This record gives sequence, C-alpha cells and structure tokens, in this order.
Amino acid sequence: MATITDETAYTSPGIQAEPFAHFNRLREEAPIHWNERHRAWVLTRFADVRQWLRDPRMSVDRVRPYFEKRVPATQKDELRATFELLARWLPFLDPPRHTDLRGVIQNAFTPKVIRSQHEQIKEVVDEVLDDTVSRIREVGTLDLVPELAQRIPAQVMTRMLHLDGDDYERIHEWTEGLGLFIAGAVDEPDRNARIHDGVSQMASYVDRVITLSGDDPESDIIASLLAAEDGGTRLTRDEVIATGVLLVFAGYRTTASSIANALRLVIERRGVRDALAREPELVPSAVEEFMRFEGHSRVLVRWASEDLEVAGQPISAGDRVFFLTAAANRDPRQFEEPDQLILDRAPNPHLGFGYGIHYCLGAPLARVEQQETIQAFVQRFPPVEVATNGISWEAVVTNRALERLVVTTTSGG
Amino acid sequence: MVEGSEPSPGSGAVGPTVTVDPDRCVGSATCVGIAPELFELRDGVAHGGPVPPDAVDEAQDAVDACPVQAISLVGTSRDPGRS
Repeated sequence: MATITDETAYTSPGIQAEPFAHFNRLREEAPIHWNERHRAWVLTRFADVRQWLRDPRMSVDRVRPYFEKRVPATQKDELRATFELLARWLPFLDPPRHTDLRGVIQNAFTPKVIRSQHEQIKEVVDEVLDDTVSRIREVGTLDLVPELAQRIPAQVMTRMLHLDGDDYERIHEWTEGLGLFIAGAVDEPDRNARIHDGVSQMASYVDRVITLSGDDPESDIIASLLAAEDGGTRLTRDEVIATGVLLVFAGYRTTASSIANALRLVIERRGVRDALAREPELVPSAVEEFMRFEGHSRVLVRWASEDLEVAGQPISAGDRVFFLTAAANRDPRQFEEPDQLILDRAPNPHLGFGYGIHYCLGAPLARVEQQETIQAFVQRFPPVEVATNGISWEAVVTNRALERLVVTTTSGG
Repeated sequence: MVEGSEPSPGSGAVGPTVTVDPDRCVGSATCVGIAPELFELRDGVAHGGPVPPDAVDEAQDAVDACPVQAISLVGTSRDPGRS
C-alpha cells in the first residue's frame, strides 16, 4: 500500500491550539502513516492502537537507546546516572522486570488504598480551592494552571509522601526539565543538562525522604515500597529512589495537565458547568469523558523490537511508533458522536490512561483528584470566563498540556 | 454480555470462571478489549463470569494482560505451568 507521509510538527502553534481536525483527518485517511518531522510511524485508529499497545513486540525501553544514540559522547559521563535512574522507571521497562516491579509498586495504589485516602485528598482540594476563591474575588483574575491545577496534585503528592508542603516550589522546578525529555520538547536548548539537574536533585531529595521515612507501610508510600514484596521480589534502594522520583513527577505533572484541560472545558462550555452543578452524580462519568475528549496524553511512544506488519504496513525493527490516542479516542468506529462532549457517555473505554500492561498505575488516584476538583469548582468557584489571550500550550510532542489558563470573573460573580 | 451471570456461591460444580478483584481493578478495560464476551465494565470496575470451553485461551490472555493482576481464572484443568 502507498505510504502516507505527514510533515507536521506536533509542537507547531496551530497543532497546539487545535490538534483534532488534523488528527481526525489523518485517522480517516489511513490507519497508519509516517511522520517525517518526528521520524515515527503513527497509528491512528482505536482498534489498532488497542491491539498493538498490548503487543509485547512493541517495546517501551527507550531510555537506553536514547542515551546510546543521542547523548553526545562528551556528556555521557555527566548524564549516565540520570539515564540509569530513568531506565528503572516502570513506563520505560519491558517484561520481565516490568512485571516484577509493577506487582510490587501497584500495591501502594490499589483502588482500596486510594479509597482510604479519599478524605485526605478532599481536604487538600477544599483547602486549595478556598484559597483560590478568595484570591480571585480579591483580584478578579487568576491563572488556574499554577494556582489550582498544579497546586492540588502537588499538595496531594507531598502529603502522600509525607514531604514538606513548602517543597512544592522545588518539585515544580525539578520536574520541569524532566518534563522536557518525557514529553519530547525537541527544540529546547540545553535539554540534557536541564534533565540532569532536575533528576539528580529529585533523587537526592527522595533519598533523604527514604532515610526519614516512617516504618508504617499502611500510611507511608515510601515505607510501603521499601517493605513491599510480591512473589519474592523486592525493590533495591536504587529502584525505590527511581520510583519515588517517578511518583513525584507523574503524580504531579500529568494530573495537573488533566485537571487544567478539564477545567478549561468546564469554563468554556457554560452548559457543562451548569449540568455538573445541578447533577453532581454526573461528575465521575464526566471526568472519563474529559479524559477521552481532551486527555493530557495525545501520543504514547513505542519501539518495534522486530520487523512487523502493522495495519498492513511493514515496519522495521528499531522503528519508532507513535500511538495517536488523541485520534483513537475520537474514532467513530468506536465512539458514537466522537467529537461531542457527552457527560454521561457509557461505556467509555477511552485510552486517556493508556492500555495494557503500562496502563497508568496512578489512575485511581488521578480520578479521585479530578473528580473532587471539578466537583468543588462547579459548586463554589465564582462564574469566570477565559481571559483574552488567556490560553497557551506547552510546546511538547506527546502531551496536550496547558501552560496558562487565565480566567476573569464575569458579572454576577 | 455477562450481566447477572456470575456463578452464585454454592451452585455446585462450575466450569471455568473468571473473577475480578474489585479492590485491585483500576478499570483499564484491558480485559474487555481482549474478551468482550467474558468481561464487562460496570461503574469503572470489570466483572467476569463463566468461561465457555472454547474461550479459555482468551480468558488466560486477559489474566496475563491485566495491568494490575486483578483477574483470576479458576476451574480449568489447564497445566498451571503453561501460562
């Protein structure tokens, strides 16, 4: 079959502002195409994305190849420790080590554990929201990305890990450089040095936290990681450090983006806010729909570990494959009226948290944080609208992440 | 689908069955994607049921693919070393 080529950079301003028209068109033209700008095959349809995301021949082990091929020889010594830490992260591990570690780590994040933390999470949300409400009443305008979307998961994470709440500013700074690598900010200068700074500072911070951590696995995630055992597997201290850094990073950045995207939908669509305020029982399914419609993740990346034929297209061992979940989540072959936001959509097997063995480990926590935030927002936040030029997006490949969401109170607020 | 078809305790000899631990299930719907006739998602949690003899391989696939190992397949004569 003739291969379709797309020259578009996902970081371009047009695609950042409105990616879906382009992604929808690509999906309808062909199930797979080549993106010349990102040097990757792009898989676009729901059924193919789901099938290949659980195929063991699609590898996630991208840290080592990146280090070997892309990091200049002169920087290898400086960056080796950082990349070794990243290579111990679950999202970049293939089985069998992935299976062993995931079995251990997920015990800290089961729905049962998260249910036991629900009241604590709600407390954080209420606290942050009260503060934000009084500030916007005072000044009339506020950027909800740092003030609400980022503060809530950061505070939840610092509490769950028993960190000092004042460390929030530092966590924000450290995760920024790392975010550039994970999300593929391809044009950023000094990228490697910034990753290194952020990761090494987070690692020594987590190392101190481990030393100070309590010994009650019931109430302390770090203690539970140190104590966890699953079928005889234990985590080494290096693995606990790597996982601690992962939790700080993923628990903060990705949840913040999801909350920000959801808030924007709620603010821009007056009917959505009214419906959720009137019928709070809609909030859980609405959150799933926000994840389908405007999830923070738009591309999941894999590498072909051998020569394959994918959706009729031969691809070679070592080729990079983008799973364009932003297109698959709007595939009319799977979802009725895919470009409509339907708050009570059911079933909703969206791919916003991934699929298969790498499905987001923190999904139960992320769901509770989003639900509580949206619930509190529609009930208690004064009426607001997005300010003129109040929105900008991070120039990254894999995520749909708001950089700013500036709102102003409207009359009656 | 499998609504209401979960075997009741004490119903005597049952064939192969898949069960989902609701305290572990994160609603990834991985099993539903693999074996839609064996699993169903209700309120964000997967539910299993009896497994017809010709669907045992699919059921085992779902067990292996579950990201949180929440699924058990019981009542098969399958050699446990095979999975």
